[in-house]
Amino acid sequence: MRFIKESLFHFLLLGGVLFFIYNMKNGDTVHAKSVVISKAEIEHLKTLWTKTRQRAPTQNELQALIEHEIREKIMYQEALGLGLEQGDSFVRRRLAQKMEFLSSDMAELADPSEEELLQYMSTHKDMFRSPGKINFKQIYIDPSKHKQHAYTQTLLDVLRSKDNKVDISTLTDSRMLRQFYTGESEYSLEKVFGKTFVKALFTSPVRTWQGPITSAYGEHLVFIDSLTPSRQEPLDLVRDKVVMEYKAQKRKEMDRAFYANLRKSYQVIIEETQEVSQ
Amino acid sequence: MKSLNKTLLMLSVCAASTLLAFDAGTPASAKDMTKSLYQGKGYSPYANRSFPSNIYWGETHLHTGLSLDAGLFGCTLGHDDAYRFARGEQIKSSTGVDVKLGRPLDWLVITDHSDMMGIATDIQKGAPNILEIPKGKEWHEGFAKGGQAAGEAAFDLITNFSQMTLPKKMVADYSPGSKVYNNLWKDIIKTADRFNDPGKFTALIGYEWTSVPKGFNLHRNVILRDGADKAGQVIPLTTQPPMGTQDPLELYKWLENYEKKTGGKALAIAHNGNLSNGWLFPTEVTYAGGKVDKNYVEKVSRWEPLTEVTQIKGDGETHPLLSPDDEFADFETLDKGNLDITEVKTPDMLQREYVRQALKNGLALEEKLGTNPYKFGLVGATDSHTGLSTGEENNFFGKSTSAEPSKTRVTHPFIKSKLGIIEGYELSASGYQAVFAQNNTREDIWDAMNRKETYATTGTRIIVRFFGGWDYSNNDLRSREPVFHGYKKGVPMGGDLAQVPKDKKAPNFMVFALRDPLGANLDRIQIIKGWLDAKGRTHEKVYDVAWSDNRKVNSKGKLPAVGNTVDYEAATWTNTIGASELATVWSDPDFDANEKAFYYARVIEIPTPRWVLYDKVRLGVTIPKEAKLILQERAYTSPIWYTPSAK
Repeated sequence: MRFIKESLFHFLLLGGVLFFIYNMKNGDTVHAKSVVISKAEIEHLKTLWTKTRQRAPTQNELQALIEHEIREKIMYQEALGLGLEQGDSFVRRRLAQKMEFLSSDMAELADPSEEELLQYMSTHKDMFRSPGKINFKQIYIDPSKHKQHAYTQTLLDVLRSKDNKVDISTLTDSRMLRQFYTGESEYSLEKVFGKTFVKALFTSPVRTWQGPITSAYGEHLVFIDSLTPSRQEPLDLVRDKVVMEYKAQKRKEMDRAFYANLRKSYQVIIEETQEVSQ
Repeated sequence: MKSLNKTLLMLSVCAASTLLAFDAGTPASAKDMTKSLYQGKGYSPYANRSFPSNIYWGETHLHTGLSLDAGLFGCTLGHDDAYRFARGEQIKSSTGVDVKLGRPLDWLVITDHSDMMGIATDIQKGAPNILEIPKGKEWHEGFAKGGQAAGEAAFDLITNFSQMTLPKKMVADYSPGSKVYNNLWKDIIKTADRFNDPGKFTALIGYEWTSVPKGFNLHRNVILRDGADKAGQVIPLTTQPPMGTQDPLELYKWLENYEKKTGGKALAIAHNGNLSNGWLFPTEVTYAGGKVDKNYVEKVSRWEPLTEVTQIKGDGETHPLLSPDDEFADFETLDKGNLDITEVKTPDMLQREYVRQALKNGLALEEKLGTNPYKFGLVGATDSHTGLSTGEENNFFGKSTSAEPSKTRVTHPFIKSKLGIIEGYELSASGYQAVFAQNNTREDIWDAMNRKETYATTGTRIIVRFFGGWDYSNNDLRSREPVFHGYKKGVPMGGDLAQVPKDKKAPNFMVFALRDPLGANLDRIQIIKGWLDAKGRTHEKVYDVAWSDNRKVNSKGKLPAVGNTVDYEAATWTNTIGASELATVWSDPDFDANEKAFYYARVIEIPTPRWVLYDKVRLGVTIPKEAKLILQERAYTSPIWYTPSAK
């Protein structure tokens, strides 16, 4: 009996059944059904081709496109006739996705007013801040090269002493971390030094050697030349962004409400719930 | 000054070289400092530099729910979600799990399958015309209110739609051939424009041309340099005949047409030779029935400056059978068969599948046909079908939505056929791509890719610089800014060397790497050389050029392994071995000025947990014995080529 489990067997069986049904339905009627390829559809096929290939299709190519379309339509009709779409999770997901497209698209319709945008900004302040900018220099101390504390402290004392003439480029232990960073944002620095370092850096006093600040690599002494803190942007500078975020939120709300409405109109029967582990 | 001098002496390591260059405590004017120290202009040595000094991370290969396969396997995330996630926001995955990147990406190319784009569009964007009808106003007001009211309006509209009670005008707008038909591509490119935020986050427009004749993977990702204004003038090439085609030569024609028509720029990136059963990098005949002739190699060379060397469906740098002397060759290898395993792999296929071999074969083809088709820069990407660009081991959301974190994903096969299985645990949490550019913009990032100043990683963010020239010295490396010397004396990764200077015997290479700030220390840097000898045979050699922990090369010339600190119970490691930074200047000891050659650097991390180990620790999954639990992540730089000048 094992052969029954084989997919080939299933395939043949299904094929046989299909053939049987097909003959039953179509055996004695030749043109009981029709398929229409409209002018508009042909135009559409031509447009698609032209925009893809940057030239119009030849007569043969157009014929092939149309034949392909006919074939697909016929197969589609027949599949529907057989109910093949039923229980097909691909079809189901695809159609569910289309419903999502529908409701999402509609959110695009509503253009927000000035008040709505300002209101949105005021409740989402962090999203529309200009990044802070900093100019600073740093000396990296490799923990494997120095007995940290004493060395670091001594170095800091020297750097802070008046009239010191230290070339800091000779003091850093890294070839890849720069000594000078200018016009950098928190965001760009986080990529290199990590969040903890950047947070400490942006809250350090300016125009004096500070540290050590710890990063993933080791310790750093830093001198901030100047720091422009992050600030709230006016609406006009970030209007596109605000509109985008506003609409994104509306879309989410609409999707949720749309589904909630649909769900409400259904009696949902769950026949069996399985035990779930916590 | 006396006390100062005393203190300086205490700084024994640095004292000797502590020059009195400027007053560090109270900075002099910017101009003075510039004079004394920098080659750059103004205060900042980094401002106004003519070379690409910034590194930007991203990837060129991500699918969302708009890809037919991704959507059908449950991915509900769209482009908005994918961009938000990539730029660092926390979102919910398709399976409802909160997910966020450890660090944001700087740029992203979403590459949904083009074959999908013409399908779901008949209902797209009919909506704007709603306003032209009386009932539409009512709906519009509902939408504007948002929340429940909007939901009800949408519900009402769709009900009307389903009952065919929509006004005729609107129905007409949904009909094929009308201007609102087929707008998914437009939607995609408009979304990219919306999320493209120069300086902060770059959204490049792209798509995947998914040619897969008989299951042989010939996929290419197309990356455009331009915005929606240009991209909107065309429709992506598909692969299903009669509208589409599976022949790469037709894709090249599409790219050419795109540039001609729009004045824009485009390139293509091939991937997963390992699933092509010998067809991705052909050397004699092409799958489409053509010949690898002058036309073919010129077209490939013209349109494919890069190749994707590593991703979730396996690492494609090289294969253990192709590189038997390379102890690191067997890395995340997937060599069962073609994409759907309807044909098993045979060893003869390998040489037309893997990147290192293609680089070598490219030299031979250049000798024969005058153009090297496989002169690739190297990139890494995920090819995730989840809308989530997760290339890191400890935050891996899988190949498809069905493989998002779960107790079963490790044991659930990715592909299973009568001929073979690709097990879930064999998939690789990989990879990302770094580009060196001046600014985080579409133009700069695309240009960097086009000149191959970019490299691949297997998901880590190792920073590596690789320069080739004739005159690098250890002093350049020790200088405050080796990068200055890198550009001044030679070429960066992706560049070319020719014409040996009279007083030089061999090229040398300056390479330096810094570990991922959140990642593992570095084990070693290797330089991999491939060359073509006088008899037309290709060769390769792997050189260890810099390594950690003062290890000694043994009598057989082998560098001992770095060790392993992975705690298998906790899925952690410690950076107590390896180095956070490695650097060297290396000269090719086996150089022959008459032989074409290429060189690229491979930077290898110390062992760290593989994603399955995190699944074990976090989800309590039992990992099959066959699964590898640790790995050594790596970066592959784009090569530098040496071509003998014409005699």
